[in-house]
Amino acid sequence: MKKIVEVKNLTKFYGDLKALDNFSFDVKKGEIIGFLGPNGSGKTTAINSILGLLKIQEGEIEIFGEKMSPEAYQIKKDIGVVLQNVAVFDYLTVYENIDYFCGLYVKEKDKRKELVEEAIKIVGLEKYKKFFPPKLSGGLLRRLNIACGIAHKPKLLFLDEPTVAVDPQSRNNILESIKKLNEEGTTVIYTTHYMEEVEFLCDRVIIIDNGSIVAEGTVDELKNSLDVGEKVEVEFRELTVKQLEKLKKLKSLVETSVEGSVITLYFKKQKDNMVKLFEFIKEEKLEAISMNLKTPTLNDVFLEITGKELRD
Amino acid sequence: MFWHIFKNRLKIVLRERTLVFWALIFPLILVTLFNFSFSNISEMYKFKTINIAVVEDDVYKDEDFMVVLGELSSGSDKIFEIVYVGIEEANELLEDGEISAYILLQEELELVVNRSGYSQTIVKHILDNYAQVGSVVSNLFKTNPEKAQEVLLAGINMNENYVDTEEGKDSDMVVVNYYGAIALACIYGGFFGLKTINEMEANLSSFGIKNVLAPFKKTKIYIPSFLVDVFIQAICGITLITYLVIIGLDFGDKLIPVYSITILGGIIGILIGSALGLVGRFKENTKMGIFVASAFTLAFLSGMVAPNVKHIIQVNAPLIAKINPANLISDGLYSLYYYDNMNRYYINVISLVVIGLILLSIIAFAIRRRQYDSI
Amino acid sequence: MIVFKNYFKLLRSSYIPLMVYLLITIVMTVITTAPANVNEDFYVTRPSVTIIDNDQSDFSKGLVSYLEKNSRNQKIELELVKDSLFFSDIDAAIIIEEDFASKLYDGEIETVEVIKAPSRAGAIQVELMINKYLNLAKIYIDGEVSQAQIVEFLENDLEESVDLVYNRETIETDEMSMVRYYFNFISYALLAAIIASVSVIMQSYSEKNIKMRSSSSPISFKKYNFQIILGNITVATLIWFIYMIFGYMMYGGTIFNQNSLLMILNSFVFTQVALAVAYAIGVFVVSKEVQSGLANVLSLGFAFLGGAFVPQAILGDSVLTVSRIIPTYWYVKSNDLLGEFAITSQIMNEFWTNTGILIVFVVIIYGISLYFKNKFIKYIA
Repeated sequence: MKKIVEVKNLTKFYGDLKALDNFSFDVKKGEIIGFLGPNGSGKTTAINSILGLLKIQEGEIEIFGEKMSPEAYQIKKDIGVVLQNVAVFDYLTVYENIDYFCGLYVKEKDKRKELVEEAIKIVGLEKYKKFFPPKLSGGLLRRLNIACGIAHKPKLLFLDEPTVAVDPQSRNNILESIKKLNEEGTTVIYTTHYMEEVEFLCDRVIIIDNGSIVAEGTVDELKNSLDVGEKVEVEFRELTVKQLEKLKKLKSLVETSVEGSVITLYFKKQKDNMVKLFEFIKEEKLEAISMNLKTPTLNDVFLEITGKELRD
Repeated sequence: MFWHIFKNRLKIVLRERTLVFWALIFPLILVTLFNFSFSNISEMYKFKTINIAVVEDDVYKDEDFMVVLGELSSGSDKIFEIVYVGIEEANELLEDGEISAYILLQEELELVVNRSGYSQTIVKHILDNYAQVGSVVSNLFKTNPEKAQEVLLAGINMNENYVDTEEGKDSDMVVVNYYGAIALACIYGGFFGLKTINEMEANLSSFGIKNVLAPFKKTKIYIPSFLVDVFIQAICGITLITYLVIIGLDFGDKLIPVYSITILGGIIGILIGSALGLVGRFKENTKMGIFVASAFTLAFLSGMVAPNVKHIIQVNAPLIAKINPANLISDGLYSLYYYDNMNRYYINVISLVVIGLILLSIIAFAIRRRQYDSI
Repeated sequence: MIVFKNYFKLLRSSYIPLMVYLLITIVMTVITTAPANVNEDFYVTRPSVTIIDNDQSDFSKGLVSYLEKNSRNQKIELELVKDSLFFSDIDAAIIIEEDFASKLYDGEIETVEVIKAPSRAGAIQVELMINKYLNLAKIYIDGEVSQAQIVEFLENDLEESVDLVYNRETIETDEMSMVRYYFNFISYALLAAIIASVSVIMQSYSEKNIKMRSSSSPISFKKYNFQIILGNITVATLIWFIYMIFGYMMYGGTIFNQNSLLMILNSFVFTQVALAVAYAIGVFVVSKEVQSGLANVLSLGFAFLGGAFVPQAILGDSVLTVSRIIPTYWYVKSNDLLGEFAITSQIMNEFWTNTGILIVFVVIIYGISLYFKNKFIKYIA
């Protein structure tokens, strides 16, 4: 598969602050790549640098197989951008806004009309065509922002935290729309600090912290990279100290922690963890009041690698 | 592409009411204010009856003077409205402002006032006249008594006009106020210019980012935006001038040059705003604040508030007078008003054009930038 | 006092436009009121002229000498005359034709050409002077008196005048004129600067979200308001003080005579009026752009209509009826009095009356603002 985006050794300083450190990755055609990282990790800086907006100190950037530069109009006409800050004109209607931005890329009026109508449909703003942005809620505004970025059917789409402060309905709509676009052939680079979105949407994930890539792979690969496989929180009606010690010695247990009456068991990645646990319970004739099974999340991955949480 | 951007930007600018306020309505309010405040100036030099009192003295009586007073206070266009009162009442009337002055009839005539205003000056002037005529007549009698009799009988006329002066230039320094206001209106085109640049630079707004990412040269966006600004500013300028003509400011038969320099001034204003927008990374509001204050200062220095300021700057800081765009506009208008030939007007126009070209090149150079250290 | 402290933090964020405003108004004030430049005297007693005598007769020389006594005659070449008039370097150019005197003696009404500069007042003085001289001279001419004699007689005749007596003691010197003009002018500056700073800060507090947050905070509404008003007063007083310092820098000791001190007091009272206006704007007006538009219109409008820029004596009667509802009018009235006359009990009476009216303005404006502010809060709650 062709590489749509290729970034090698991207380094960017803001004065003395190193914002991006030897940032390298690539994106294949038709992929949805997620940049996952806490606030301030450099996601936006990475995107802006790749788009040629920022001066970089080191690095090579290629898009569609050609070197990226601010004057690379051939490349730019097939790129779409949905920025973190909603940038729509307060004094143009929803329709006029989308038409304007699409018009920067598509000159033919008839074709543009079709594209605009389609974009409106994709984001679900049919009822709001004639509304002015100040009258729209946060979620609707973001949908408009997206429509402005996708109307011209770009081959490569950048989305920078498009779901911040958005109501659940809009959020679902946004995620669904992106998936649909991708099915129609758009390559997507998506940044966020919400791991649920990444898990839902992305083929591959790039985890970023302090300007560096700390982990990379599919969602499953990343989760599998953890030592910990499953996490079980269990509460027993009665548990003697002796029984607890025995429990701790269960094979395939990596770690145990006790908080009050809740015991958290961290299992290695194995298929028969639960079998072993139930066997133990049966043997010791224990009564479990509650049991919570948690599969590892990307937050756990992040936590393990960096010692920090994704959401601060 | 051109029309696409032009059309959309036109919509945006026209729908944004604050821009319309500054560029169009504020100048109209300002000149209406001027019109209202200055409405009396020509009145002041017109004829108005002055209220005075005369305090008679039991001892000293001057028949001749009383006759003269009588003449001056009769008829439909009388100069004085006279009341004959005692001294206490006269003082009271003076304090209350009912009379401008009162005359004490004594050996030597005395004129009592409590301020030195226009009316008081006129009264003094008339009374001085009376005293002087008396002196002339008595001299004449000493020299040529027979002729003197003849002259007296024929009647003495003190109202003959011996001055030949241009009629028609009836307004006065006040026009400088108006021209300054016009200059201010032109400079306010900068609001549009500021906005245009704001939307073009990625480090100034998110719009800028979207525009920079578009697949063509930035000038393709700047030019139609600039032309929208010019178009709207031109309309505002023409409206202002037309309004001024309607409320009575006289431009003679030189309306076309007046419109022209106003439009040119508007363009310069737009460019000033754009240039300001390119400087520094202050918040948009701060830049607006600085711009409003600067525009006002430039207009002030061109005489908008106090006409003599224009003169002061011309004398003490001629360089400022030469490069202050507001002054160039106001001076251009003033030379149309004052001179018959167009030389001075053209000089101002050319200076404006030069400034415009300089600004334009600065802007053209600066907006080519597409990469930033940070945004 | 957390709101009070916060107030100044807010001020810091908008201090640039404020600084610019202050700087500019100070510069403007300096330019218009700097010692050499006060030209608010609309009744010019010594106009600037240039006299060109092409007749050179005894008679014309007599006229010229009279004119020179009452004006400032500058020697300017003919080609440069128009330019001088353009720049108002001179008020009028006076040109006496050849054979002027002899034609007069022949019984014709000869005229003197006067080219006026647009500065009306001075030119009119010139006209009046010329007409006076020639009308008087005509009497002699009719009486067949010789040229030389006329000139001699007129020299004395024209000394005749009526004694002018002021029944108030005037203190109008050039210095006091300037001081008075300065204080009048800063009514504009004070209003503009105070509105620029105070309204902006108040607007931050009025913003809906902030309002809602603060009405659910534990600080009582009264305390909250009080601290904001305290912040306002501090800023306004600071601005006022800066202008007073400038006054001192420009006029030195004159600032400390009795009349000037009263003007200082007057300006302090006016500052409170300006503050009240700024407060009202901060309460009622939400949009930032409307605010700055209003600030400019109000400060300019008040200044013009109140007589701060154009002397009250010049404003028409119709204007003056409107002016009475403008606080600046009363402020300027006091200053004009103080600038011209020595203090008498009567002057003080007028001064206190005007000051009282200004205070009434303050009370009314605050009253209305607070009343409606309460209503708004209740409405949100």
